[in-house]
Amino acid sequence: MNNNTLQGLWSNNPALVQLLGLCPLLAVSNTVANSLVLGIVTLLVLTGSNLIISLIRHKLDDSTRLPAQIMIIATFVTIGDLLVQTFMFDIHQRIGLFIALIVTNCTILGRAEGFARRNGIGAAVMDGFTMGLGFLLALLAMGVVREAIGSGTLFSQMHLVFGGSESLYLIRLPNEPFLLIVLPPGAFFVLGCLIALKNMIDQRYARQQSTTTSSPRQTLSDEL
Amino acid sequence: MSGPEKVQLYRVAGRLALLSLICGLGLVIVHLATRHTIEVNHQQYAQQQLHELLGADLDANQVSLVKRSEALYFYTINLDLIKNNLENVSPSNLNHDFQNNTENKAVIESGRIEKILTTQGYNGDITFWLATRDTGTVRGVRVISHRETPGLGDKFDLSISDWVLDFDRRSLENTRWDVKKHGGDFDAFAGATITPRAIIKAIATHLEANLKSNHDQGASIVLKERAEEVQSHHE
Repeated sequence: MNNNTLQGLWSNNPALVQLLGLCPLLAVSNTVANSLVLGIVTLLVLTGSNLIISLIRHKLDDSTRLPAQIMIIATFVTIGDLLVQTFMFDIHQRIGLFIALIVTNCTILGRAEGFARRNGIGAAVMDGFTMGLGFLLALLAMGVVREAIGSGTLFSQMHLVFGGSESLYLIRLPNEPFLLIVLPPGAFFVLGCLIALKNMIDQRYARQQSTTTSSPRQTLSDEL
Repeated sequence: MSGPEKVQLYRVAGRLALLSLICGLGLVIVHLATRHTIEVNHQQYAQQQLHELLGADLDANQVSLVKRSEALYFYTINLDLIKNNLENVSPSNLNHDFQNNTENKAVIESGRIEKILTTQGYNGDITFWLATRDTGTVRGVRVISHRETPGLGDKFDLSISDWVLDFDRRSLENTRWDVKKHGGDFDAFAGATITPRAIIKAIATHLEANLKSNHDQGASIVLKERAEEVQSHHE
């Protein structure tokens, strides 16, 4: 795993470190199934838009690049929206509007601006993919915690994504559902806990790593 | 504006136009490829919601559903049988029981299910099924399509809240058709009043229209026509 990969997944994770794309992150992460679908669409959009923007990067100047980037992102999002409507209609009935809102996810424009328009195709695709994966994993972690604590289940409605019957996937946990976690305040609460957990691991790792050389603690994105 | 600036401007505009064209083409292709499936999905969902209004009884042959048009269905439910069924009939002799039962004592509920569209939502049109009994009360409401804000204006979704069940047995006489804040009988959604009001008002308007058209046409003719239709459906 090289340094760039690690950035998107961990040290510069779009959701947990850059704190970008919070609107879908907080709104949709109440079940694993919802998180998974939104995360995958975001991942694909991010990879696709990074690819195209890197491809035409020499044709973009200061006056055209923002409208061009937004147009490319919006195109990918709309295609993703249509595909979800085609193949996962029931999920679309539940989180459809948030799929359209991926256009406004700052992670995507952030990567276009911050990386894709200045780097080659391969690097840009890789960046889009790892950043997207980092976002997807954060979203999944939120989904797992919120569904497990808030509803007392795991993988409910997964059949809407993969087909088959719900009982194939559904796991019932022994704990009583704690409704607050499924509601919007619970989303902030869980996200806060996840960020704290990540920082705790980072600190412990840093302490082990360097009793001699002290590294500055990284709390905000190095790009923003 | 000087010459070079103008050229620059044209170049920028040209590039953006070309990009829009390419993006547009991509969207057209995907749209054409998915259009049919999405349409079928929408119809299936609408049917599923329609059947939900009649409950599980539909599968057990206790309900007859007659389609008049895409947006209008008539239904009859043998309530007496459902009651029997709950009390003492096992699934195996259900059909047998049904046949015997129809002649002697039939308690039948009949009504219509209509597709209603309101433009008064917060974000675009809301389409829903409205099931009304012939007695003038509401049997149920299910939203088919909408673009209301998730988590705020979508509490009419049964998987999110029971709000929509509150319409059961409401009629023009027994209900003030507005949200509580405006002196009505219905709960609003926290932070979203426009959406529930749009639905409530649309139903009230519709109930009034139904009442009026029944008076105008003469209810007996409608009922007779309906009876024939139900009959022919059974045969």
